[in-house]
Amino acid sequence: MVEVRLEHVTKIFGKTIAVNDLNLVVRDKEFFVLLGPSGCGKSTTLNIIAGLEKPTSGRVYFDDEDVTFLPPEERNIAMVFQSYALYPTMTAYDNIAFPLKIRRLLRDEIHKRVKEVAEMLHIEHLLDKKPHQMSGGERQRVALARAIVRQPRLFLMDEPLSNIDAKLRITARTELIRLQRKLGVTTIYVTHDQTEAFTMGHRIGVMFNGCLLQVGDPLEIFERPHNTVVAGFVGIPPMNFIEGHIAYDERLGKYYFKWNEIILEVGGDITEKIGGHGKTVIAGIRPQNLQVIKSESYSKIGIAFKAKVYTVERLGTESVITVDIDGELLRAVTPSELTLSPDEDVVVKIVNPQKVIFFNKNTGDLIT
Amino acid sequence: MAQPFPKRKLTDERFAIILLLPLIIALFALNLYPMAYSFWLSLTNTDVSRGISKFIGFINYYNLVFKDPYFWHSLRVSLQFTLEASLLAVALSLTFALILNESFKGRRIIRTIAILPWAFSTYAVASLARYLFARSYGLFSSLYVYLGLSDTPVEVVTSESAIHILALLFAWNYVPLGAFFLLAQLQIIPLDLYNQARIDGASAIRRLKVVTLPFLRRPIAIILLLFTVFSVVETTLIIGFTGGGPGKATQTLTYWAYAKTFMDYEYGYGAAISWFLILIAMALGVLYYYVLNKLKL
Repeated sequence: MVEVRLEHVTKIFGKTIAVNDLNLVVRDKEFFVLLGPSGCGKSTTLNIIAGLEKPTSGRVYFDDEDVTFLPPEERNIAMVFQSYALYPTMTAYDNIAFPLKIRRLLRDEIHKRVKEVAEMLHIEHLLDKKPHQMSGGERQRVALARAIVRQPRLFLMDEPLSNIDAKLRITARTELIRLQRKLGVTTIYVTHDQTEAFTMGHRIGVMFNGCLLQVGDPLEIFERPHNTVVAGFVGIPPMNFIEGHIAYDERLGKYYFKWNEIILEVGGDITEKIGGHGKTVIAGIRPQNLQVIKSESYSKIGIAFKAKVYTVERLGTESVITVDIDGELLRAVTPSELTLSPDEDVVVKIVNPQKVIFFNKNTGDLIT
Repeated sequence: MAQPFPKRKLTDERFAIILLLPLIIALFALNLYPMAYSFWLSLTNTDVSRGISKFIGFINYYNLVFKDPYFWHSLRVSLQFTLEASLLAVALSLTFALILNESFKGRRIIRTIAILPWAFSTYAVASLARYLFARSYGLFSSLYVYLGLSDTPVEVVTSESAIHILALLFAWNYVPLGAFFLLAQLQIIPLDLYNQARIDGASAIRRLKVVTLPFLRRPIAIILLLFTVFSVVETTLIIGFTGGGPGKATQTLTYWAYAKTFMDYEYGYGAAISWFLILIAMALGVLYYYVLNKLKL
């Protein structure tokens, strides 16, 4: 429908920089997710795209049209808010019909289109109800119907699933994905929930403190985060960071990352970039890449080190085990069948050493 | 083992009664007793100047409605004043609230200034008005001369204009109350709704209609009720500004009750007029209640 391009967009409120020199291209028909903690500027970015806020500097383009100063009513976009923003005195039908009435469509045409979307979203039975008579999930559907009915060129969604209960959210998520793929309307979706971001987005943009830190497909963001901030924000539980140094083994002619008992081989090119022997570097290991093994059943295969169990959190089929190595706490995800108790001596194994990534200690940037 | 029953314990109920006691006493002494006493007075022919006080039943009420040459005139003036003053006050309250809700430079200062009339006692408003509208030295009279509309000082307050000027003064005095009441309501309207309406393509007027006004219906009804009751019983302004004049042009029922009681010293008859007024106020209240319920506001 439309390609959205942001060039050097900056928004300053008083003394706070809400959005800092943001550059982004959202492709046509794409489901793009802006992910970040609350207050990171993602909603402000969305409002700028909607035209509800004017950027302090920078430009916004829809295809080749400069829309930076175009008022929202002239952008032909639809938006779904976290609060759903249904008009409280109107029925669901009138809410959905409202944008069409404003456009002075014929009554029959309005009726036809409202019925169509109501059918698509299975809300025919709600059309006579007012917002206060509906549940959160029902309101969310009505808000979605109102967005769809006018066949806009761009959907903007500001945490539309945050206010409905967890069980319904999963169904709503699948519905939304199905709908977006079917309609093929470019969608920009703002959320702080990474599960939503990873399941729904074709691509994800991670925002932090007003800056867009990384844009990429879900796998890229998860496996090759550009810096420690993205790495630490994405993934549940968060990534383990350990600060060690580079050592050179003259006998084997190889470089190693060393921290306590952990010794990992590091490629020569990475070493070159950080300056070689003795330099400090941060290793990032996903908790899913660490395996906890009981001391007695450990056989010396692979890279492993001794540790003590600190806490055990059971999450149903999995448990998050926090282990203590010389005062440093690392998290590992294990199947729940493994029964461990605090202070137990265990062995922790790195499942796939290739998936350990390294960051520059000073800048926090990924070393590639 | 059974616990011994605690003696003289300060229970929640007792504590609540102790806290309420001063209010109950004050309410009784300042409201209920005077009301009951004035009702009793209305059933007597008490006249302080003649020194008589005898129970006469509902004769005062009968005389008021059927014999008093000024009753219907005063009732008409009262209703006109109430209608004009309350509607004007509500309309201006809404206008001011909408203006003060916009964000503009110096909004805080304007908001502070806007609430000032509310800080004026009604009598002060009346006195001020007396100076402003005076024939020989008043601002408005001088303006007429200054603008060349008249060669000599003009009487601005005439028997035709007086009631409108009073309504305007009432509104001036009470608009801050109404405006801030509505403003408080305006502030709770979710911003998302305005944004949604803009994205849906609604113009400013349409947004006012579909977003703002639905939220204001109930508070508007409440201030309309308040202003109606306030204006029905408004006396201070009339005493302080026109004294019921010119002639009897602004003689409302309240003013008539005041004049009968405190100028003619006919306490009994004055009390009867006051109780008649209470009936009117109550009737209006009940009427509003039913209308508001009917409209499901």
